[in-house]
Amino acid sequence: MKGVRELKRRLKGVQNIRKITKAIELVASTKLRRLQERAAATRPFANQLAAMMKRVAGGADPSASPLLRAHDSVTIVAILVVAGDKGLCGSYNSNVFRTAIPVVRALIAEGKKPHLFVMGRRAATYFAKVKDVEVSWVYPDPVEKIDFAAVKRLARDFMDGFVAGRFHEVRVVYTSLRTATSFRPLCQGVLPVPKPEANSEAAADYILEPEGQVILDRILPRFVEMQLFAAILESLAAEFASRRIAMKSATDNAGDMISSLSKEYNKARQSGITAELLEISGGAEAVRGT
Amino acid sequence: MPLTLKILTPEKTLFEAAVTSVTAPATKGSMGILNGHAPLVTTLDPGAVEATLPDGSQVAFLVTGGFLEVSSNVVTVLADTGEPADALDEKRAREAETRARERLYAMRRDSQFDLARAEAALARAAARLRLSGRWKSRNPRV
Repeated sequence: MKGVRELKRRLKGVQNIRKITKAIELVASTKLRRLQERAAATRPFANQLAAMMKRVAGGADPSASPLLRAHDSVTIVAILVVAGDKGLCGSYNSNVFRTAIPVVRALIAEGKKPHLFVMGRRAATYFAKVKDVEVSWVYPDPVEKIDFAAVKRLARDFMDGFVAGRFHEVRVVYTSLRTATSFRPLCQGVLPVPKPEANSEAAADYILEPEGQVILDRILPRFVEMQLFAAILESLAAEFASRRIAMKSATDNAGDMISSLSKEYNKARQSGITAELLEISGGAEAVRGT
Repeated sequence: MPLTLKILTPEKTLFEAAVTSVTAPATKGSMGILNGHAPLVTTLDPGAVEATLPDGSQVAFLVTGGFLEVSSNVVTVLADTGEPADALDEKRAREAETRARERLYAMRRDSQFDLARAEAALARAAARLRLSGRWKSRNPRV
């Protein structure tokens, strides 16, 4: 019975696939939890920094801070695209590309020059294939292993470039994660830093030492670093969230397939047995008949 | 309301507890903070943030710069990086100090930016060594 053997083989194959997708799902959900914790641990610092920036902004002249000052003519725009190194995560990577490409094309149409900085192998191979888009830099390490020191170096390159006029604007395309099942890619401006709204009544109550301007100029680089760090951690968490969902539905589908295949297999096996029995009893009848 | 000290770094919360006093390496000189201090925001240099706990014991953290805010009896330290005094790696700090010093000697005076960076590295290493030496003499290992 060839049909039975063929069914058995397919059943085995699907069962193996289900084991793999289940394993990836479990790993992704563990990593998602760990990343959410990591992102949560950075929040007190980030919130406090943002509050402090508002507090000292009142005593400072924002136009005197190079990171707050917009360039007069914007021609070169640096865009950091944060995607993943691996696939099997649903449409996570392609959603990032689908957000980045229109931004890049719009800049080209306006006669500006976008410089792409990409994180994630997937993004590197994707943008290498897009003809009219040029990639200036690819993050060399696995995105998953990134730490604050690496983000700091990256942020410093952007800030140095911005102040020196090598870029007139810096933006980041990343995936924002609200809950474990809701995330979406978006494009956000990084430099120039939006002018902090001075919390004037609070500022008057605070002793600032040294004066607000000096403090502000030291807060701003930290603020940029934290913004990039949060964007990268959120993107990573979104990647795992997306992978978990994709692998969960793959596991479920494999389960459905296994049950329908085993039904089919049992039916084929049963009809094989019935046919054999019929043959035997038919043969016996024939023998008795003579 | 008792004084509370929070030490936050970009990656995690390092310390959060009620204390009776705090000293911190403010840019304009070391400063002490007691209960009821006026609201304040200041920048920090590399150095030790030390606090006395209600039971009289001391804790110390090395910060490599950052900010300090006092607001309604909460002292918040936003440290660039921070580590507890008893976890300091003296050998690494000494090596870093030597490296920074060598770089400063070799430095051509026209490269302003790297000069600032090497000086900052030296200040960080020196602060680590100072705290580590002080901490050890005060809390000798049994």
